[in-house]
Amino acid sequence: MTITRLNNFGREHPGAVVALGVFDGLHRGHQALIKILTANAKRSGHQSVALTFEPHPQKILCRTSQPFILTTGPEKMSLLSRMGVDVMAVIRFSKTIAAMSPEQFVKNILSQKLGAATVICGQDCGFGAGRRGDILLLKKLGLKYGFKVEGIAACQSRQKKIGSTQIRQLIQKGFFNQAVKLLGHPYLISGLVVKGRGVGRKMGYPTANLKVSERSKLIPLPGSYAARAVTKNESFEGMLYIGRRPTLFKDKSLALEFHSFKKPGNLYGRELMLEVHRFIRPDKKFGNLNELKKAIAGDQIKIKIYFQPAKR
Amino acid sequence: MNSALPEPVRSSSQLGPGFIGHVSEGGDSVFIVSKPPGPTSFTQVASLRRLLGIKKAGHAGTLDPDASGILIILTGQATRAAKFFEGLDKEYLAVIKLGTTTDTYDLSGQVLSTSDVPVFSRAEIEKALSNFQGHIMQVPPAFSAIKKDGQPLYKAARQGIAVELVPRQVEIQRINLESVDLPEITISVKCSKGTYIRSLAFDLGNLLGCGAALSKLVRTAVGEFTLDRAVSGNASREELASAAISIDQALYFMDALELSQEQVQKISHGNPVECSHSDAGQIKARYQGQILALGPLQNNIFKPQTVLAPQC
Repeated sequence: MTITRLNNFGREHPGAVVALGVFDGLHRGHQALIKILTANAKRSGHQSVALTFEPHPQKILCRTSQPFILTTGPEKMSLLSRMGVDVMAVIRFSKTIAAMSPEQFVKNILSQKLGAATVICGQDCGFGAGRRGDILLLKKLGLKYGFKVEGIAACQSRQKKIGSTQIRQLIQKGFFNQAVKLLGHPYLISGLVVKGRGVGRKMGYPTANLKVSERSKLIPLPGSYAARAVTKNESFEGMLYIGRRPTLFKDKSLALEFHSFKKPGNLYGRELMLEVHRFIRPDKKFGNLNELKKAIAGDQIKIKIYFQPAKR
Repeated sequence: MNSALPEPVRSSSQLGPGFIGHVSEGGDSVFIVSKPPGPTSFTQVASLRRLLGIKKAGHAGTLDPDASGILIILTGQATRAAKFFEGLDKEYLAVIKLGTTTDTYDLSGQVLSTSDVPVFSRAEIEKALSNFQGHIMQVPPAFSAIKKDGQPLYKAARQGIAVELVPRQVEIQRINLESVDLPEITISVKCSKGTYIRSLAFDLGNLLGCGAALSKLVRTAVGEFTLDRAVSGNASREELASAAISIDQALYFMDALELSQEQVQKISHGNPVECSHSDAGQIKARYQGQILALGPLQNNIFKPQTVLAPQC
């Protein structure tokens, strides 16, 4: 998959099939849409383009009351590429973009810049200033500027639309495993591995301390999680601890620590992307170090069983 | 659980006449006052203090001068319990004017921009509102009563000094569109403490693309205290006195612990006591019908965080 900023997007993809969306979370609803995108592109022999916005439009528009986001730019990239999308085209979202009228947006970006032949988007999509443009207007403009429009109905789970807002709330309320179900893939957290205090190492569980640079990234509630670290050509199963380490320290800083079951080599200074698969237990203050160790050993067993290939 | 709100009672009426002037009616009590728009929260407290002849009084949570609705005013020893009331969830009814932005985010400020308001449908506005549901990071307005280095932020803002505003995590439990009468809309919000509805209005304006400012705000509930049970801010001395609620009743959201005589001694010295109360959580400790101390109970140990001095 290639990634281009919209400004660098040339005319090398004539007749592109374009999916439009913010795609925060790339949940099952988004995935259904991307599936149609790739199938459509394959059938027509054209490139599949996921047109998305970075940063998340709400980061620019909601200057004072920012919702958390599920997926950062690099995470979105990784997910889209796994889904087989050819090009991820990124619009750098700004106040100028936000002020474009729906028709300007369609004319300047979808038609002139991308030269889209087909545009795929959610049935309830909104575009242009104030999200004033809807699917009906898009279809109308499609006729005018010469592209087809396919609206995809929202995916449902138990009669409820699968949406990023709902998934965010599930994670924030502690229903992590349910959120993962709706996401259709493990929750991604990426960050830089920084030096910790070495307490884990002394306890026999060396950990990589993750520093998440994206401030509005949604971090799941404190607890122990089954996770897998993925680098370019390897993956390491292990456990992720999220919390304030109440047993060990008095300061209240939130830590993300990943312990790999297999030795991963030196990770300091590297970007690590974690797939967080499953919530194991909530955070707890233990009476002493031994109790904590016991609990970690218990988590380890549970997580190893979780990652074991199912014998069927 | 906390079924009905207790009926207001006269808390110190048992002192009888003759005490007025020394210990007045309504000392050591909680008042649920309905503040009219105009006076600051502090003025409202001052007027109640004057009217009842009480030395010590304070409120649990500021309400902007232009806003109206519930203000919890605490007198005498009850002021010590302020922080427990501050943590209660708030409910608001807010009228937001679309098409105008101001520096204070409400209509009292300098107008920064005006624009035409497109004919929004209910669904469009509801969709924009749904972005705020759940936990969000909110940057407080520069014109706010939050204190930095002991000074309220608005003092610096009024002098044109830029202050770094630290975002805080707040939770919007519910946000509903009540009515639309463009360019004004009315919303109802249930939120955690520290939420600024002005900021929500400002961001809503950005999301809709036309700008917005808060035009009217009513705090309709604080915890289970609702407006229909509040006493008017312009009430007479007699009305006020009869609306006093005892500390015990006002702390309806805390479990009570009956103290033994030996425990009273320890508690009044601020020492923890052992007890066999089952639930962990915030506790009000009672002795002979009087609340003596407030604090957390954990592992059968009650720690008096706030001791209310015995009323002699």
